[in-house]
This record gives sequence, structure tokens and C-alpha cells, in this order.
Amino acid sequence: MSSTTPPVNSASERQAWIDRVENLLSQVRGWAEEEGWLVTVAEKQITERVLGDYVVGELFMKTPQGHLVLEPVARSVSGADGRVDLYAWPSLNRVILIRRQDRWVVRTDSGVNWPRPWGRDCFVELARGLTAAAA
Amino acid sequence: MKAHAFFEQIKGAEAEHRVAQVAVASYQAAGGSRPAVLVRDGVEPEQIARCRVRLEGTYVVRVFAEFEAALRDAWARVRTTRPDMKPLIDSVAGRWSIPTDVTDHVHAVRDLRNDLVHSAGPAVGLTLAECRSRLCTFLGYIPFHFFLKPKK
Repeated sequence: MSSTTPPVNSASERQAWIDRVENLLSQVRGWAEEEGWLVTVAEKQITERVLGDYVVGELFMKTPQGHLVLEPVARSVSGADGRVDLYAWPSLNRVILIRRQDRWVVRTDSGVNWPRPWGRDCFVELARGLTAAAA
Repeated sequence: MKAHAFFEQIKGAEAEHRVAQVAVASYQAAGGSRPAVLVRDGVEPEQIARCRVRLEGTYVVRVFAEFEAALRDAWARVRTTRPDMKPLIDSVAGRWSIPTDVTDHVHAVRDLRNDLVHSAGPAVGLTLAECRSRLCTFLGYIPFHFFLKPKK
């Protein structure tokens, strides 16, 4: 894999993004475990021109209805300050968590923002909905 | 049209390029050993040589056309507008929060395609395989059901 050379001032920005993602993963892991779901964590390497190469976690969850994945995509995306995907496996039914104004916003593939603000109830509702739709 | 059909068409165009490469090389070799073949077909050796040099660029244009068709198909499910390719790519990227690097890579292919069409020297050297990879990666961020056109 080719390695990119990030701009000098990107190190703090990269670390801030990694911290945000790891906080999100830690939060979701806690909620999933409270539901009694099996959670495993893997590492994902991401390469972005602006931030360079970095490694973040990726969550795999096993709910009674099916499997869910929480996968960081990129910090530098069009129209937002970062993106993490939450999708059911193997149907790939998904919602996108985008970072806007220092908070996570859930958006559907149809471009509609999820009416409930991101939090434990929202996550559990989405997890059940995505896996149920996959059935 | 289903999403996978667009991917197949794009990959199919790349496969056609490989066939064309072999065919042109064989024809060039045949013309070299038997010039009567070229005389019969009314083809000059220089024309074959030029065809070989430009073949990959021709298929970059073709692959990009398949990509454009796929993008417009998806966009038709979202808006009734018909924007030019640059704003269309940016609008699609914004709608589905596509990573900036992925979008920039597609714009580089678009620039290359424009240079090829307008006969300017290409600003960025990309192989056909690189172009195909970049375009398919971008399309991969569009939810598959946006490629399912309603029946007329």
C-alpha cells in the first residue's frame, strides 16, 4: 500500500478525528453490551490525502436479529466533518453518521436526517430496524 | 437498471479494451509481415500505430461515458435537473457524504477525459484500470436502490 504524506498541520486534526471516532465506538460498544449483544472490535486502516495514514477501530455486533457493523469511513467527506457508517450485514441496509457542528447526525440513504438525536435510544432503535429490515 | 449492471458495463468496457489491444497488435504484426493485407483494407501502417497509441484513451472516454450514464440514472431518482458533470459529481458526493479523496480522484478522471476529448495533452496520466477503479469506487458509495429505475 502506498503511503501518503500528510500536511504538517494535520497531525492534531488527525488525532482529534481519531479521538472522536474512538469515543463513538466506545459509546456504541457500551450500549450494545448493555443490550446483551456480542461485540468484537477490529482495526481499520484509513488513508486520506489530508490526514495521511491512520488506524481506528471498527465494531462488529451480533444482535438477536442479525449482525451490525459500525465502520469509520473518512474525516474528509463532502458536506460534513466526517462519516461513520452503521449497517446490517449482509443486507448492507445502512444509515450514515455524519459529523456536523461538533455532533453526530444520523442520515438515511435517502438523504433524510433521522428525527431522533443520536444517543442510546436512537442507536438501539436503528440497530433493531436495520437488522429487522435485513431479515 | 440495477447497480451491478453499471459495474458490469464499466468492467466490460475495460475487457473490450484488452481485446482491442490484442487485435490491433495482431493486425499490426500481420500488416508488417504481409503488407498486402493493409493494401487490401486501405489502411496505412501509421494509422495502425496511431490507433495503438490512442486506444487506451479511447476506452477511458468510453468507460467515463458508462460512469456518466450510471450517475445520471441515480440522479434522476433524486432531482429532475440535468447538471453538467462537474456539479453533478459534487452534488452526488455531497448528498451521500462521499470521501473527498474519492471525489477528487473522479474529478481527475473527468479532467483526463476532457483532455482526451478536446485533444489537449492529458494533464494527469492514469491507466484505464486506474480510471475504472476510481469511477467504480465512487459509484459504490451510492445506495444500490438509487439505480433501480421505475418502470415507465
